[in-house]
Amino acid sequence: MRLRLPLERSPLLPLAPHPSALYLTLLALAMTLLPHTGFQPLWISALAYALIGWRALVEWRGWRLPPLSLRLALYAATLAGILLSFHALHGREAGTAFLLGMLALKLLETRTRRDLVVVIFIGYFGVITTFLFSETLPVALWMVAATVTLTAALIATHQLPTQGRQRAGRPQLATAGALLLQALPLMLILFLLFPRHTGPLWGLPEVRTAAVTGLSDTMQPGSINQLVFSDAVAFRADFADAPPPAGQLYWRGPVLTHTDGRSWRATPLPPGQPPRATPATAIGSYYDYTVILEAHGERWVLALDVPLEAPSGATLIEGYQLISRETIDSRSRFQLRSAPQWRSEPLTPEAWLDALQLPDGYHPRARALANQLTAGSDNDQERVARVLAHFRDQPFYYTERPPLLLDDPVDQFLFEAQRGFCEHYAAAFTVLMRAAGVPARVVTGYHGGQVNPLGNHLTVRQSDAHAWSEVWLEGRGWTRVDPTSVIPPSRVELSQQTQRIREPAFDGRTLDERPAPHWQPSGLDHLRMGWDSVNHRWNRWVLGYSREEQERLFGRLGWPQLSLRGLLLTLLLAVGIAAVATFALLQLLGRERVDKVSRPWRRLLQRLARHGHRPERGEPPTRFAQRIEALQPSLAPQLSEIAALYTRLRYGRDTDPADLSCLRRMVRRLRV
Amino acid sequence: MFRCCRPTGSALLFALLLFALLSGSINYQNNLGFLLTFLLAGALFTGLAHTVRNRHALQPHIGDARPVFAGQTARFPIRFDNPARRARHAIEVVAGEHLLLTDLPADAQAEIELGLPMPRRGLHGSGPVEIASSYPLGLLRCRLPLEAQARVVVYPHPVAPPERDEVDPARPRSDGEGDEFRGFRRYRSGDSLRRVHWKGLARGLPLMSREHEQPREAQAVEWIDWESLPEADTELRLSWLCQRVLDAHGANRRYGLRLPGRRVEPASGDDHRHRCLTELATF
Repeated sequence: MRLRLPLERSPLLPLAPHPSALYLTLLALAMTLLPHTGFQPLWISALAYALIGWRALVEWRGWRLPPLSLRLALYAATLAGILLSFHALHGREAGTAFLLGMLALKLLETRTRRDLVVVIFIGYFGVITTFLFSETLPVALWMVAATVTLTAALIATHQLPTQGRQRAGRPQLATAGALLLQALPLMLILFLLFPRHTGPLWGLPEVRTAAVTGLSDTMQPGSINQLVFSDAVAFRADFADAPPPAGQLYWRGPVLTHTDGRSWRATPLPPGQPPRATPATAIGSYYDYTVILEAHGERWVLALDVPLEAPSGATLIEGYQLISRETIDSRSRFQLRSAPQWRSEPLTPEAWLDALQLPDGYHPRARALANQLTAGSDNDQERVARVLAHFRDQPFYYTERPPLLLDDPVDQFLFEAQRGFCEHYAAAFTVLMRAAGVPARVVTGYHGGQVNPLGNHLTVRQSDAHAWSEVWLEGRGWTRVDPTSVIPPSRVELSQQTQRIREPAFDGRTLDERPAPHWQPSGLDHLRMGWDSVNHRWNRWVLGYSREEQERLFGRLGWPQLSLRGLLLTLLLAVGIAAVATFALLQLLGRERVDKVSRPWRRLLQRLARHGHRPERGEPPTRFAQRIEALQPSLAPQLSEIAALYTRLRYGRDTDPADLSCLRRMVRRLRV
Repeated sequence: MFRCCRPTGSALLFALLLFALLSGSINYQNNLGFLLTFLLAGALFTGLAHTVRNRHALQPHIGDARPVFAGQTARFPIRFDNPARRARHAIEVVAGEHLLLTDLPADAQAEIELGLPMPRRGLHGSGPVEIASSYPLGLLRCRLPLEAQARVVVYPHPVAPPERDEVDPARPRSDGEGDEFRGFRRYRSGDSLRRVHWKGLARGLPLMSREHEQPREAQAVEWIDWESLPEADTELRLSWLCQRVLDAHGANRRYGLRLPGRRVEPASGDDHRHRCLTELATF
């Protein structure tokens, strides 16, 4: 049996389209292409824009469309170009280039309405491919504009060529805007309730973004002689209550335990699921917060020192590090809990040995210095204080441009250069502590963060990257020590760029004593803060909406454990209700909203029409009334009076509300 | 309200597009992709509401067409009354294979003519006529069949008869120059000055002419007779008769029509012509 779809043939389609339709389509495609220019090879964008311009000229000047042979040659050349550029036709980049190229070429054979409909539909696809490359708020807003324009083109495609030629595009854009605005409730419900249970449907071979990070799981103090200053956002943190004071804003990243004398590295992760570690015990209060991490291409999750438990999708491993199940290739969100004061479990013998390990043959002077500094001290706490005092009292300088230290970076730093940044201080301090017999390790991460008063969140940038030390103290366990913070401000050399951000960190007091920086925003800062806050909300609520968020939403609604079936049922129900409500509202609002005066007159005309009396084309009401009265004298003179009153109310300048009720009464009483 | 709404071919394509957008969004876990997909899905629905509204309460009325000859196009007037404050776009009027498109301004009445070719004589209807619309997105098409059927009389196609079987009777004079005085009428340019009512003019009346006519009995009557024609196919004979009626009418003669079993008494004028031609049409 042949399947027959109950499809309607639209008799409009084969006819010539509305002149605005093509121009609106071209405009929408040009808008869609704009963000792609940053991600596609230049020739693709140039080709697409050229073809759009060509098609517009063809329409405007009444030229002929290029012949089939030329079009085929262009198709072949584009295909070859894409194959040469990407060596593929599938995948994110090549697939998008292919789509955009073919879409632009299709324009050269677009004549009928049907062609335009196809181009517009592919245009929607072009819009979505943009989001594979950029999901920022400005791009999203731009794409909203492109979608409205595409929809306006679709509307113009289904209009008659005579309609609104003089105000090209404007009415269609207004209708498209209204149409899409009215679709927002349905969109929102579908977005919130559509099940997010499935993973990728097919493989995603390409890494999303080039990772920018100030962190690494190895550290080589002395090998880089200039800090890379990047203003890029590393992550943002949202605190349920007030954020912690500035002194506690240490964001824990990779913990580096192993050293070969020149570099420090983290314990390599075993393949697959890393072993869980025992978490620290919180002393006193803890913070609940959310971290929205930018893509960095690694697996670690930044958390406030120290995280108490692993969020979903991550594991808490040795060294209180959070390791994500997968590499963080897109902006990710983690619900975290951290305690600023904690107590550790006792160290295992292996961990103890690891934390005291020093490579043979390295740092002879540092070892001697450690012995000299800590001689006669009977507890580790005092040893820490003495070594810190050494950094404070000797002429150690903080600088972002330290000299290169290539042979024995620790000894060279301690005795020759005495200039460096956090990595040098952390490495040297850790070596000194280990030499003095105190278990110690280097912790890297970020320090600080800008509190955004508008969004009540913290923004941490790559320039906030930091390294510090942790020492094992009897009774307390791992304790954070930041040797960089003891350098007095007089010995800090900051570049102009970093001064504003870094300065408060060096006021001679230890970090824990310092109050939160009092921050006076200027006008420009205010704008920056506002923009950051908007971005943060965008990331958090729109881009960060995931299965976990969905579950949390349902939990808040009172169904914490909703099955997939329940979710689908809820979705259907909500969509149904929204659809009916939208439809009813549209019909009610759009009902014959004829003005009050016309309504009784129309009622009368309907009654007269039943007797075959209809106004002629262009016949004014009064003349119509006279004609009907001549045919049916029983209606005289009321009909003429009604017509006169109606004309006065409708077209006259001064109208009395009493006249309207009079008109209604007269219409009601007239016996036709 | 939805009874006559059906998806169009574009809707199928649109559904494919939505499916592709959705699977792409799921695959890349792309929330903006989801948003676009769902926005378009919502627009599909609001588009339906707009289409229904675009066609809602239009109250079209189709009127009878004026008589035409076979082979001509009958024009049926269709009057739309748009009581809403919104303009209606791309309203399609569909009668069989024939299509008419129109826009309707807000709160206005409009009349369009549906031209349908009428190849054969007789009393014909307009056939089923429906109005439809797929505006704004072209994804759904809502139809509304018109209940009333309009009619049209299609006269036979006039064909000149092979020969005139009788001599023309004396051409009756219609310029008012007969012998018997009938009365006065307003002066028309071309009237003979001899017949101007000068006395009346002198009394201050407007310029008038005296009218005379042939005495009624004296006026010749032409019988257009089926039997007087040579043997031929019925349709051809009717076409000949049609031409003779037109000739007689054009010459302003008094004429009557005799058909087997039918008869129209002699008379003249437009109504008479219509009566005769209708007899031929329905024979």
